[in-house]
Amino acid sequence: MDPWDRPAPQGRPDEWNQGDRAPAGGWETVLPPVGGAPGKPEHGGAGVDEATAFMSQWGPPPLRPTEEPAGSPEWGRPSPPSRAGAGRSADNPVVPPRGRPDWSGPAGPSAPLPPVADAPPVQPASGSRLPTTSPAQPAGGPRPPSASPTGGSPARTAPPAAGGPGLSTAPPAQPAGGPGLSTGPPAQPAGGSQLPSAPTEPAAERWIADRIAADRSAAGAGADDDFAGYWATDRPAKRQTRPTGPDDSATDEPPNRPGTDERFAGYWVTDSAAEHPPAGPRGRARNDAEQRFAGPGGTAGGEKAGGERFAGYWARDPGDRQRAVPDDSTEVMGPFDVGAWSRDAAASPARARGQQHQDDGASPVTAYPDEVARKGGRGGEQPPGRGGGSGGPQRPRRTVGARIRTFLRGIGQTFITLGLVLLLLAVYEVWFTDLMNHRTQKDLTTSLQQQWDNGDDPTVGTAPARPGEKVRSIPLGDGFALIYIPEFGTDYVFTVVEGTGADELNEGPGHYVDTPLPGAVGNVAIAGHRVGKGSPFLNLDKLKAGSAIVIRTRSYWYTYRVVGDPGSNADAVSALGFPGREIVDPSDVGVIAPVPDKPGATPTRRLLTLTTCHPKFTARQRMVIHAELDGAPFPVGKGTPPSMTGS
Amino acid sequence: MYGWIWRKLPGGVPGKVIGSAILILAVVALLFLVVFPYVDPRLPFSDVTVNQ
Repeated sequence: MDPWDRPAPQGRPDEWNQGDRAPAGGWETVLPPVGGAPGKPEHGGAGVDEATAFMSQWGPPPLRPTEEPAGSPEWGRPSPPSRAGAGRSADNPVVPPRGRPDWSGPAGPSAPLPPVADAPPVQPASGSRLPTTSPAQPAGGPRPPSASPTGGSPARTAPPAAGGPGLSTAPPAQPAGGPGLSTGPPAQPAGGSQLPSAPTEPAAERWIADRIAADRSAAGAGADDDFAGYWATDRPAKRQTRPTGPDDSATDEPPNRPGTDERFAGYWVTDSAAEHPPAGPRGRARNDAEQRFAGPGGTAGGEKAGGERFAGYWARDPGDRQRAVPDDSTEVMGPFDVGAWSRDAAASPARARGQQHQDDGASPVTAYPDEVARKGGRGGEQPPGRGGGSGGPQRPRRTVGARIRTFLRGIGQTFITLGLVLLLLAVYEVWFTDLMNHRTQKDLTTSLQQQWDNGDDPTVGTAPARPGEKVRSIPLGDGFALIYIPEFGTDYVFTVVEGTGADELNEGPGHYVDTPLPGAVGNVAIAGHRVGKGSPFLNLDKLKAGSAIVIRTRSYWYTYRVVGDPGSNADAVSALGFPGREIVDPSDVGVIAPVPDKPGATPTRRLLTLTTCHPKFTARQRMVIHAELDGAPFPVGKGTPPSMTGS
Repeated sequence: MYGWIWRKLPGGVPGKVIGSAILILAVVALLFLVVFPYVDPRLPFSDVTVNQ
């Protein structure tokens, strides 16, 4: 959306230069002398940037539309020509020579370069115009130019102070501009002084854009610190900065960088180390911006905050840098920036990308010495964040409220996590264990069948000396019989294993080891899970008096029937002295005695007792089903007993 | 915590998504195959026998 977003001005020095040259020719009027400094399209660039910015915001750039139409459809690219155009535009709004579509970059970068040549002219123009356009811009404008000039040279680092390093370079550029500019070239180079004057028509445009941005920023700032960054991305900060403070000249660029947010700096940083380097500059910028902006407008402060937070975010994107650059370029810092960027580029590839644009455009963002110094401070903070390594910066800023929020967030996440774990536990108990038990049962059944096929019957051993006496020891966990409950469906079958420990019960219904085996006199007791682990006894409460429970061993089918009069309530005490179904306490072991509920009594009947938990999902009580063998064992050789068909 | 993990995951958004899925599966597997089987016998609702 925003012109800023456009990556266009990617570092194409060549193109830029060309652009500059070309424009130079055309712009001679405006930019005449300056031409010398390639890196300083500043003004022109600035103008373009502004124009683009404006356009982006409003759609068709008012001034440029007219200008660019001629130049080129690509507004996004404030190519050098555009700069030239800008310069011209300054003179003649319509003029904008957009000749170079190449400039993908928003006018910013490209603009800067051409500006170099043009810049001078532009500045002059801007200078002349400046007065008219706006004082604030001038400040911004002037600086960029100075910066841009320097940009080419090592000056970048030399910031606003620029005067120094930048000056040398800047002077040349400015000189060019200078001539053009009524205002003293030197002045511009020095600091924002010229800039103020520099602001040309573009400046006016910028003004508008800036104001818009400022409004946004203000809104953002007012809205919430957190979102400040968000708005900052729009780069209101920069714009604002310009307008707001003359001082901005120095800070112009910084503002952009500052735009990034500290909070997110770290986040993004992790993504790319490259960003770090940029971060530094930005950080500087931020600092500058903050300082500068503090004065200008409340919004500025807000922007700063926002900017800082997201600084990292933008830093990541080369585009960000570009954006920043454009702003800067517009500001006139271009030349200086170039140097700074180049350095940054060296520092990191990522920057290199962004820098390229900047360089080409003579990115205004150049790190001023001051900034650098500041960087040191912030660099520690933000850069680290970007780098990901340094969380320090962010932390320092954290407020009590932020810490409380973090703490509460941690608690919230803990509970959410616990909730999810409990939910998973329920899934595990009800579904996963069934799934696993199904496989276990399959294996058990297969194993038991093989055993039977081999002629081995685990239940056959030494003849019991007395009724109810355990006749043979079956290894715990081994299957020895199959249990069917026809009422539960023809597919209801489980392999009964020996033992009632947790492990055995996880495999299937477990046989109480101290009770007799199927078919024997006494009480055969089997326990099984009601919910989960195959849920073998889930529906025991559905059994009625007379319901069949069939147990098969290798040689026989044993049909047991729930005690009580067929069809009657199984809960009623039967003639045998105990009900077909009863609910008892977990400690009531009498239910599995040879004679249920009558411990010590001598058994005379062949009984079967099933136990499970009750109610479902709890272990508060036990549900017990008593059944008695119905008829003689049915030989396996004769097929299936009638009871298996539901009779 | 989750934010921290997300930030630490490499590979951009796709990598993060994949990494997150792997982490989730790993955690679920750990719970289902190790933690829950260990805890289950100690929970009160899996006791189905009568005993003293």
